[in-house]
Amino acid sequence: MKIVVCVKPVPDTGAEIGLTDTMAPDLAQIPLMINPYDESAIEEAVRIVEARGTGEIVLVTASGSPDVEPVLKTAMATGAHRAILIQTGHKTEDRGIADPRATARAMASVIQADGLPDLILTGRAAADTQGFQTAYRLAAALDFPIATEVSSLCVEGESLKMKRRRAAGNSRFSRLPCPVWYRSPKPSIPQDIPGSRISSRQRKRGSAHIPNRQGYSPAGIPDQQHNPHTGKRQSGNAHRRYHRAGRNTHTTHWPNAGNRRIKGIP
Amino acid sequence: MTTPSHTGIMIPIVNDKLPPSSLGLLAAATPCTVLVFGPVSSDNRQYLSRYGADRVIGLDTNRENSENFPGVKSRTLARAMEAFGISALLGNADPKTMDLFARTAAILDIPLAQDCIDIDLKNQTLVKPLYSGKLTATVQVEAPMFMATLRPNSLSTETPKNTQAETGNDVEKEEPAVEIFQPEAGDFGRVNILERIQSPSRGPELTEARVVVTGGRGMGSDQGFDLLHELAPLVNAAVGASRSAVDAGFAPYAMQVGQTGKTVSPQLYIACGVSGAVQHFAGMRTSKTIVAINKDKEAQIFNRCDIGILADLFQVLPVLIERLKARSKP
Repeated sequence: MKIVVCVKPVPDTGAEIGLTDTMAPDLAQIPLMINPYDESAIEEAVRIVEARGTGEIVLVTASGSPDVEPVLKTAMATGAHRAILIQTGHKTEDRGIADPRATARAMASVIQADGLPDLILTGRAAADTQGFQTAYRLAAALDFPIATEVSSLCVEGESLKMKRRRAAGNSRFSRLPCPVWYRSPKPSIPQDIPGSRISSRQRKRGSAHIPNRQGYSPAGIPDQQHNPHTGKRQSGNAHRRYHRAGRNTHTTHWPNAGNRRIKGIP
Repeated sequence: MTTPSHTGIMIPIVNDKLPPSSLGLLAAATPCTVLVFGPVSSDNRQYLSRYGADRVIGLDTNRENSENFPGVKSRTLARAMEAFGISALLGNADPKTMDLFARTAAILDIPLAQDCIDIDLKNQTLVKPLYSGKLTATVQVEAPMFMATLRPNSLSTETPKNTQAETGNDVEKEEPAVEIFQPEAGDFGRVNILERIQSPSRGPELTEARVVVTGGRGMGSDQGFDLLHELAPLVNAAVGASRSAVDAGFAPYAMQVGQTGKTVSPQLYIACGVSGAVQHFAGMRTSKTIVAINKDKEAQIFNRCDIGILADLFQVLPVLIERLKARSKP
C-alpha cells in the first residue's frame, strides 16, 4: 500500500509574529516546523503501515524556503520512506500566501508522476494560513473522494472506514473506497526532537525578534496589526491581490508553472 | 423589480430555525440571494425578505439521504451558483459549511477565503486572521466569482438601514416565492456516511455562544469542570477547555478552545485556571471581554485580559455561582 502524506512547513506556532517596517509578517527569525496537524497525519500513516506489515510512505511538500530540507528530514525520521520537495518560488518567510490552487495543481502533477497512491493523508489545516481548502482542490484534481475531521480510521479490504469528529462532539462513521484523502484533526506534537531543534536554531540566530506591539486594549477589541501584504499571482482569468487601500503597494509576482522544479530527497 | 442580486449567502435552516449567525451575513450582504438546502417555511421566507433577501432559492439535491453524501450537496451548490449568476457566495465558518464551500470552490476552481472576520462587498475586500490570529490580512479579491466563509459573531447583526423593516413601509406585497433549484441527476460521490452518533448537548454551541467559560489545567480534574457546568447555565454559557485540560483528560476534545481546537468569539470569555499561552489565546483573542481567574500571578493570561482575578478559582467560582443564583431568584 502506498500512502502519500502532504505536509507543509510553517513558522513555529508558539512564536509571536510581528510586522516589519514594510507591513509584511516578520518571519525572518522564526524557525520552520512541520505543520502540527500534518505530523499526526504522518503518525497515522505509520500506524497503518505497521499494522499491515508493509507499505510505503511518501511525504510531499511544496515550498521555496531554503530551510525546509532539514525540517522535512526530521519529519521523515518519524517513519516516511521518501520525501518529494516541490520547489516553488514562494518562501514561507516571504510576504504573501501561497495560492492554494497553484499548490494543489503542483502537488497533483507530482503525485501523478510519482504514481497514484492508495491513500493520501494530510492535516486538517495549515497552522499558519488556515485556508482549509488545498486538500479539497488536490482531491478534485486527482478525482479522489475526500473526508475531513477524521479522528480514527481503519482499512477494511478495498475501503476505508473512519470515525469523524463533528461540531458539538457528534461523530460519524463513514466508508470510502480507496484511494482517498483524509484530513486528520488532532495534532500531536512529538515532544523531544522539534523542541531541541528549535532552541538550537534560535541560539545560532541570536535572540528572536520580539516586536514592540501593544497588548490587549481594554476598549474590548484587541489591537489588530493589519498585515496587508501584497502579492500578485498570475493564474488564468482570476487572481487575488493583497493590498492596503489608499497607499502605495508593491507586488510580488508568483512564478508560473514553468518555474517549478521537482527535487527528490533520497 | 431591479436586477436580482449577484451576492449570495448560504444559510443552514435546522428545525425550521435560522441560526443567529445568519443575521450577520444578511446584514453584510443585503440585498442578496439566499440559498438554502431543504424546505423554507413561509415565515422564514418573509423574515428573509424583510432583512435583505430579494431571492430565496431552495436547493433540492434530487437525491434521498443527501446528508450522507457530501459530494452531492457541493455539486448542487456549484450548479446553483452558475445557474443564478452568483458572483460572491458567503457562508458561516462552521465545520459543515467550510467543508461544503471547499468542495464547491474546488469544483468551480474559484478563490475561497475561509474563516474571515470582516467583509466589504463593495470593494471586494476581506479581513482574514493569519498565524492563529497573530496577524490579520486585508485581502482584495479580484475574481469574477469567489466564495468566503465568515466566523460566527464577527459581523454586526444590526439591521441595515435600507430594509423594509426600517422604512416602515409595510406595503402588502405579493409574498415572494421560494424558487426551487434541482440539478440534473448525477454521480453521488463516493463518501458514504454510515452512522451518526449524537453526543448529548449541554447548553449552547461553543462557537455560537455569547458567553464562554473555559477551564484550564488549574481545574485539577474532571470533577473540577462540574463547577463550570454548574455556572454555565446561569449565564447561558458554553463550557470550553484549554488544551492542557483536554490532554490531562479533564474534558473531551470537543470542548477544546485554542489553536488546535475551536475558535470562539463571544461577548464574554471567562478563563478559569488557564495560563493563557499563545496557542490558547489564538482561539479566543477576538472575544469582546476577557475575564481571567488564576492564582498564579505570573500567568500570561493576565497580560491579555480586561479583568483579572488573582485568586483560587475554587474559592471564587462557588461565590459567583451563589450570587448568580441569588440574583435570579424572584
